[in-house]
Amino acid sequence: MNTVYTDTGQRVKKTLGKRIWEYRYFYLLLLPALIFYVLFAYVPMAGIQLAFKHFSILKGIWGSQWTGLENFKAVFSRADFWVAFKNTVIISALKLCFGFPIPILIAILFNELRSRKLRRTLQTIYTFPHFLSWVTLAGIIMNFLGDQGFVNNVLAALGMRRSEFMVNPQMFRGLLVFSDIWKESGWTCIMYLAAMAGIDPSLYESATIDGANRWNKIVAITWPGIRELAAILLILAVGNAMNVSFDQVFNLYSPPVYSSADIIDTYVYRITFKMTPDYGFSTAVGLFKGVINCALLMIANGIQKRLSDSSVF
Amino acid sequence: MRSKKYSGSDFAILLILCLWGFILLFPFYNSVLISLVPQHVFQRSPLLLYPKELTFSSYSYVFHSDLLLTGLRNTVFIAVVGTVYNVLLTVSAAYTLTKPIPGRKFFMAFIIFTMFFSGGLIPFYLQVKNLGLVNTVWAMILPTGMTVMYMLIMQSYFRTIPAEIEESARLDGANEIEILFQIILPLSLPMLATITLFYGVERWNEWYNGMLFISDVQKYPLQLLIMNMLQSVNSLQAAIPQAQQHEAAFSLGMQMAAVIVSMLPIVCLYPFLQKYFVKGLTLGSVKL
Repeated sequence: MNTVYTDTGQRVKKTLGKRIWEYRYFYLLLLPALIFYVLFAYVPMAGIQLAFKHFSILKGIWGSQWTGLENFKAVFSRADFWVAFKNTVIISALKLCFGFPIPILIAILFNELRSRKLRRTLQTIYTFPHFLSWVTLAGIIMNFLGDQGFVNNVLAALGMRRSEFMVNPQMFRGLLVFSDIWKESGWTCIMYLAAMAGIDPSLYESATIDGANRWNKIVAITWPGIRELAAILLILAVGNAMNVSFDQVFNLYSPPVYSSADIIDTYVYRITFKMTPDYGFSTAVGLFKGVINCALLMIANGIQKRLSDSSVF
Repeated sequence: MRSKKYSGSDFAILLILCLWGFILLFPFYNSVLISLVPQHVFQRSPLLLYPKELTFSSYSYVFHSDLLLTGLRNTVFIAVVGTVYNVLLTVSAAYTLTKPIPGRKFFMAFIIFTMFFSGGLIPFYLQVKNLGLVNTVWAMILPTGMTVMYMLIMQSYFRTIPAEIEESARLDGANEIEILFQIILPLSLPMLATITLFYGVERWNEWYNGMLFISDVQKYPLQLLIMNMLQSVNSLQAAIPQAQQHEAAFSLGMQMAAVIVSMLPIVCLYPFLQKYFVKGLTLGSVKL
């Protein structure tokens, strides 16, 4: 499309302006998305300057006074910030340790199921919690594990002491990890099942003829078939380590468990909207997280690119 | 080979998988039960396994609460308008960026960069405020525009449509916008259905922007009202009309009824639409 032929057969390169005009309708189609990203992604990015300013409502973001690194000094000297930072790292490490292998295990077991009907039913049950919001799920979980909830009623009926699952700082991280697995593992499992569906069935057949048992086949055929996907998902999970679901923590936590559950995102939300806001301070916390997050994502993406050399980014 | 007898390990696997399914479902079942029994039954037998006495009074409270009904209306509006907005942005950007337009690489980078870095909560909040969206329903619609992953999935689908189809339409004098809406989209219906469903579920579950930007309870989406109800019994009382409060209200039952109502559309439709969701996910993982 970049070259045209004149009447005399000469090749002429079209000018940029002509090519842009030729594609004018495409630019019109792209415009809404560009406006969206400018308004809700790039203008806010410019607002990051607040991290280096003392925000004054009257002067606005651009007119506020520059203060250098003062906000960051204030952030790093706050104990509750470090608590939130530490919790973010610990919670995502825990989620990675337990939340990563379990979908693989479920998928491997699932792949051994022969009844199609059962597969369909179980798949529906496993995946639907993924589509519910954490508001809804928190309602279900609080009812189930709460002081008067089913689990505590069972404990009481068995003559044991009621346990405060929802407000016990020692148990709360476990609750976050488990409820995350409860909601998401079935959905992640589907990806592994799709990869397993791509494995050539004749491999299993010839292995059976050679006398391989179920365990041999899982180790020698199923696992190699999903290993690459597992590596990619692991890397992506590490890349997202700073994004410990705000929705989940926010809907499940309460003041008694702040010490072990407060993450950076909930911390920023609380100091901004539940206390006297200091926008400069809050932006600095957000930027600190954003930079680490960006670095992790880029590293993860770089490694992933090497692994699969078909990365989208 | 396939017809051989079930072995012990088959049963073990079956048992584990069914047990996991049970663990997933039981808390939901428990909530449904509580929403369906009167308070005295729940108090007498806290280890309820089946409804000894059925009542729909908790649901009747929910559906007689003007506030919850308003919330439901707001949520439906957000879900419908928001989804249309999301799909339009996604589809038009995805289609354009499969074409060799000058600046394509720049535009791709412009969009993908937002996956890696964002301004964070405060600058975003101030920007929405500056745009005058605070305390309007648009604050819960406009700032959630499109998901880059869905755009990439849509792009890969568009690339599978033969170029000749477009070419012949172009020769007939159609412009690009007509080609997209009259020819490409009808050919992409399965994929379009998939991303519409994903967006639809996300918009139905909206509460976060509502929490940030909406102060008027009448404008709250359903999920946000439920969040408030779960966090304090006071707002639960406020949601129930005064006239009905003298009847012994079973607050836990009402909370659960509201939670069940909020997830009902998804739970009812999901089994039938599951294949579309799964297709979206597997295509997404191919893109990984």
